Amino acid sequence: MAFIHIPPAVLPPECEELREEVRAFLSKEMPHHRQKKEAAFSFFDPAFSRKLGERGWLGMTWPKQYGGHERSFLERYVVLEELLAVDAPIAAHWVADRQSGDQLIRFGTEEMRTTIVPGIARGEVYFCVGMSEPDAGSDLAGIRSRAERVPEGWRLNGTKIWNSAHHAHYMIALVRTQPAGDSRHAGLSQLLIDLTTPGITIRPILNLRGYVNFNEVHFNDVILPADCLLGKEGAGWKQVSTELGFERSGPERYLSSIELLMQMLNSASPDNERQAVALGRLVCEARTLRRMSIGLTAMFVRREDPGVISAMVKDMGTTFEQRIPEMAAELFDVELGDPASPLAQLAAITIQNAPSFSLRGGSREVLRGMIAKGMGLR
Amino acid sequence: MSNDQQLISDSINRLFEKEVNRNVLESFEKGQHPESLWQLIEEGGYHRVLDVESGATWSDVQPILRAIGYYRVPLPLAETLLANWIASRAGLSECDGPATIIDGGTLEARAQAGTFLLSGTANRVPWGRQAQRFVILCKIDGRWIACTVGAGNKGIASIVPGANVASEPRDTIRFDQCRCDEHAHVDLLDEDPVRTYGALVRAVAMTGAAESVLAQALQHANVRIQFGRPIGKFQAIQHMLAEVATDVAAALAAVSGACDAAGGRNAWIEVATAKVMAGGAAIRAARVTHQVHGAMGFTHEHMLHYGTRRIWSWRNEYGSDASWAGLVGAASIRRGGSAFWPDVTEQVARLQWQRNPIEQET
Ligand SMILES: Cc1cc2nc3c(=O)[nH]c(=O)nc-3n(C[C@H](O)[C@H](O)[C@H](O)COP(=O)(O)OP(=O)(O)OC[C@H]3O[C@@H](n4cnc5c(N)ncnc54)[C@H](O)[C@@H]3O)c2cc1C
Repeated sequence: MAFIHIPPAVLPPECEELREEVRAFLSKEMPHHRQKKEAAFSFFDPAFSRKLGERGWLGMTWPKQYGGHERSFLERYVVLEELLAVDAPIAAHWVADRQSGDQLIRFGTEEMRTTIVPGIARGEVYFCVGMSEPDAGSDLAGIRSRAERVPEGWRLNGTKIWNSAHHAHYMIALVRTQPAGDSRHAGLSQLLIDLTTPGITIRPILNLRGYVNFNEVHFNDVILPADCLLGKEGAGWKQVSTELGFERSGPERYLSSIELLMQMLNSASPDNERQAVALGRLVCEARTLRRMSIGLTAMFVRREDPGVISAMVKDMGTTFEQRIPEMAAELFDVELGDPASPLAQLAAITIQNAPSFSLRGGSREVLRGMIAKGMGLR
Repeated sequence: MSNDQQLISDSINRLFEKEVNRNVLESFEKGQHPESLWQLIEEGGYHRVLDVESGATWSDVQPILRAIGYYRVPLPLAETLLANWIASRAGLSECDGPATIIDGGTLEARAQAGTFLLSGTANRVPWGRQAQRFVILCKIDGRWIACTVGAGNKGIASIVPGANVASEPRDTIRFDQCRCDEHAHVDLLDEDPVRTYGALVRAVAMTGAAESVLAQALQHANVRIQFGRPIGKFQAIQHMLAEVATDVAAALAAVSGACDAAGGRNAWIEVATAKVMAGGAAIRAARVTHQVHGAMGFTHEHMLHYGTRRIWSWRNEYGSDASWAGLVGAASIRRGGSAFWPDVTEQVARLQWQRNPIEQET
């Protein structure tokens, strides 16, 4: 069963040098005194994003002609994991750097590449993902947003939901441009949407903790230019699959609760066997996930098809992230949220965010279906 | 995989695929030692690949250890590799035939006339009755001494046969003033080498066994028809198997990390990780693959149990998951949260982990 063997990968020395640079940068630039209120990785700080851009740590793998830095995916991996491990404020540029820029370079017009992509690499231009709709979540091919050709270009109607439009300049949206026909995957296209276009309403949605986390975005007869089409008309499904590949495979898929794990290591006693055994298991899992995640990245570098591995790493990683706050509640005799205990405070935030881990980027059940299919079931 | 590994992997898989069949396994269960299979292993030189002279690394022999689990090889090949590895590192003479390794911790070693006399009982020695040579690792004056005792040594007072759940020999051996054939100092960077490297070989073999029962279940799910369709079409079955495959993929990643670290400083942390991950993956693989096979998989006739019974045995040999996890946990807690990320990202060789606090202070 070759498909479950992840070829081992070791980070080359240049990655370790880069790691030291990132750590030195973070020890200086990391805003230490911000009050921890938000979920990991959701702090929006454009100034910080611009600093990363100045260091050349955004758009790292993109061609220089589009503002990129032509570095390897492994080097990019090291920068990401170092940022995530300290919960740096990366929310502003995150989506644009992780997936949207790559979509523009891969499928966009030359104009998009030269006018927009460099702004992403500078940490100034932000994107959101327009896939989900109120009636189309896991069953993404069931989307109803519809764009028709008109003399000015495209007229778009519909609703996208759960995206981070409140922080974004652009959305890449999956919309229907032709009726479904035989296959529901046909007739879908990706559009690049400037969110300042008239006819767009962005309605914030509070998450369960009462913070603005995502939005519902309405498109009411929105007129878009003809050249907003990303890639080929009708090729939207294939393009989205490529995009989801990027969205599913990074270290953020296992590191969302890592700060709480560190806090637990600080609060536990080595002589408490219950704590030692449970935390030891989590540490073993973290070490293994990192190894898998680096192996997966190296497969991307070698342009190998990772097959079911991306889905596996995300499924296992998100389960790991969800177990950490549950273990915190189990191993420590504290009431979640107790202001007297930093552990209890962090655990309170983490446990309330944990339900989203196995939904965003494709739900656990959807991933398991993909794995099963990849193994020849079905 | 490197070329060396690929070569070893291909040839060992070819050998076992052909030779370890139902017949061999059934006869073994009835007490018949597969002598001719051992001959083939020796002809291929597989029992001595880890010897220092061969230049192979633990990563190179990983495919052999995995194949032992995948094909359920009913022979002490892992133990022989390990025993010969230690003996060759100590510079002791080469020896053909099956060998096994004993932790001398429960024995008394008395120096006499340039050699050691061993007395006491070693429990649950793997394949004790088959071994031509015992490699016994004793800590004497703070140094590891590898002692060898041949099967014919008169100091072996008794070998009482025992077995694990998979019918593999786990014997009780009593030594009485047993004069070592040879002994030498061996430079091992581990606090508890028999347990650590025993755990490593079992962890790797477990990934092989888990992979094989998973392959059997996938195959079964595609052919067993109920309610008018292959049961593999049912989402409940698909998700159970997807989860197991993910566990096994993780275990494979962990054991390859452990093999890379083996022999070096602080290998134990990687071995512990491997044993915990492989043990968890294998036990869930056993549970789920039995469920998928239905009643047929619960019969002696079906081959599934040759894999699952090994899993149930190996999981607790050389330390349970919890005992290894506890070591990792206690060490991690002592290091504290701020050391966690630097430690995880540190190259193993540079790690300054210590297994227990006493050593950390020195
Ligand atoms: C924090 C957060 C951020 C997000 N960000 C974005 C974003 O930026 N852009 C964007 O487009 N979307 C975003 N999403 C949406 C996300 O992609 C969806 O939540 C996800 O695809 C699941 O869709 P759903 O929520 O509609 O659930 P549903 O599809 O309704 O699923 C509900 C439950 O049913 C299960 N289910 C569904 N179908 C099957 C099936 N065939 N078999 C078995 N079980 C099934 C699911 O696994 C799930 O458990 C975000 C979500 C969250 C929580």
